[in-house]
Amino acid sequence: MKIKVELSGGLELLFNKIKTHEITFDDKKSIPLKDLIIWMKDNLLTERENLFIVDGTVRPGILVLINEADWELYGGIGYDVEDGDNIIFISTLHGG
Amino acid sequence: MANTSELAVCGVNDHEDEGNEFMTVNKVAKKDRHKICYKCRDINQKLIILFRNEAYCKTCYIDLIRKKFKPNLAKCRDASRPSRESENVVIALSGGTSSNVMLELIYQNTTNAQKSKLFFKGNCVYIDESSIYPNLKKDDIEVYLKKQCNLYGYPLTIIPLENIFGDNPENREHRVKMLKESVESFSSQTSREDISIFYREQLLRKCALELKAKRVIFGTSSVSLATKVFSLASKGRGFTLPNEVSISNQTEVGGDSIIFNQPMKEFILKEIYIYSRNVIGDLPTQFSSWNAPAKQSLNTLCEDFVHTLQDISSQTVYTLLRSADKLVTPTLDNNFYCSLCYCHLSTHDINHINSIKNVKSTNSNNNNNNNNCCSDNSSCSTTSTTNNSCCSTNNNNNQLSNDTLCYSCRILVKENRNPNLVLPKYIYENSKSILTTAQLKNEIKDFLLDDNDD
Ligand SMILES: [Zn+2]
Ligand SMILES: [Zn+2]
Repeated sequence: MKIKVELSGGLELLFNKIKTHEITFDDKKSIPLKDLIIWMKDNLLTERENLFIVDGTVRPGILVLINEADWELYGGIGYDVEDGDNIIFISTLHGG
Repeated sequence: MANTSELAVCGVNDHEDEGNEFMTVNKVAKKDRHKICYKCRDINQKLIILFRNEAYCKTCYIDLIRKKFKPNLAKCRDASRPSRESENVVIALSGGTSSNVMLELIYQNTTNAQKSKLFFKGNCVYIDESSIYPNLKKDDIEVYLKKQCNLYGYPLTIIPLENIFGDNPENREHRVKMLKESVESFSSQTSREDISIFYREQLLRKCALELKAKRVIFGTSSVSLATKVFSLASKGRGFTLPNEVSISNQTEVGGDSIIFNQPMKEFILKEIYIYSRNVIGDLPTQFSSWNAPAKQSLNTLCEDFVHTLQDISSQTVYTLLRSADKLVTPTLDNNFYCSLCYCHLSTHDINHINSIKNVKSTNSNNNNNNNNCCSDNSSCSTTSTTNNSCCSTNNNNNQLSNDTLCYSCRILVKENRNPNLVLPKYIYENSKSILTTAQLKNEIKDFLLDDNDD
């Protein structure tokens, strides 16, 4: 499966300043969002993981969109990411 | 099931999107069949947001936000003015998503409105704080703001924060130095952030007066206001809290009243960011490095706390602001405001000022024993003769009476580590004017008829 991960609102600063990441999992048909963020923390995050993950989920204040739609429409962190999905993480912290 | 005419109306925007949009539409419809748009009930419309427990498609959501914003913007007009007469206003842009969305929403409800438009003459103002936040991507923000203001047809004024010490083009570097000294001499990060907020607000007030505008409209979201509820209370600013979180807050500046409006008060950040992504597109990142470690200051800590509360229950922010709306600041005597932050002084503070018999003997905070405002004499001497000078060589004008500061600003000033601290001129002027007013009142008091003398 192949997915796209997008980071914005300054969150890309924690990911080597790269906004778009294409990720391929050859051995999987889907991956729980919970596992994807841990994978991102281990493989993509370059600094201060507590600014991205808190208590096994995305830190409060980070908005998650699944294919441009509010993740709350899909049960939030309980969502299973599928092939072709575009997962967007936007930091809304200090966004006056 | 779905009505075809409705489909045509609601689907107009989607045809403009890229081809892969249709793939996603089918996918979402399959995955989330049980949820359809609350408004149009069209099963073919892709849902984009769960807005207060109801799902909305893109077209209906954009429409909803514009309609929800309108009554709040209407409150930002002088009610006594004829409805078709444009009111001159300052739109304060921060470079962030919330104020940018507000700008677009103002445009949609004024210039671009098809019917029942509101009449405003907008002047956008951006306060550039890059001299104290070096990681601020000033150029990216300014290019973007110029583009947006041009698009909507509003003039844009950019004012550097160092102009709080005057605007003479010849001594800019000196002003930057003064600003840095004045901000950095506070020992806590919280105070440094607060003082820069007060300076920003003062520049906006001054700019509004120059543009002959009576109000400044801010893009403060409900989350930022909820953060204020906690941070103001923790900083001993509870007295002014009801004013600061209301949609409209009026302050007097040397006889002129300036109103601060916050029409984005209804919206949480999720709603603002999803609107922005669908209507405006992504904004440039404001900072070149992560700006705030979580425990940096009381303000960021409170912000983190509100986000966590909001995560536990999406109703928290609304509940909090509804509670704050029920609070009222007890007295409003427009002659007595804090010289530094412009909040209203408490009855206790006012009584104290009124009891002062002689202005000159007040508890003054004049740290400036030598007549020069700054250590760097050479750069200042060139400017001190002009009106634009950052500071006055006349010692009397550099007197700040602690009695004309609110409780929290007294603590703030006390915290400062620099014995030669020079604050911007407006603070000394305010202090002097408040004391003079109080003294004049005292002097004529004996000639006024007492109610009991009838
Ligand atoms: Zn709809
Ligand atoms: Zn104050």
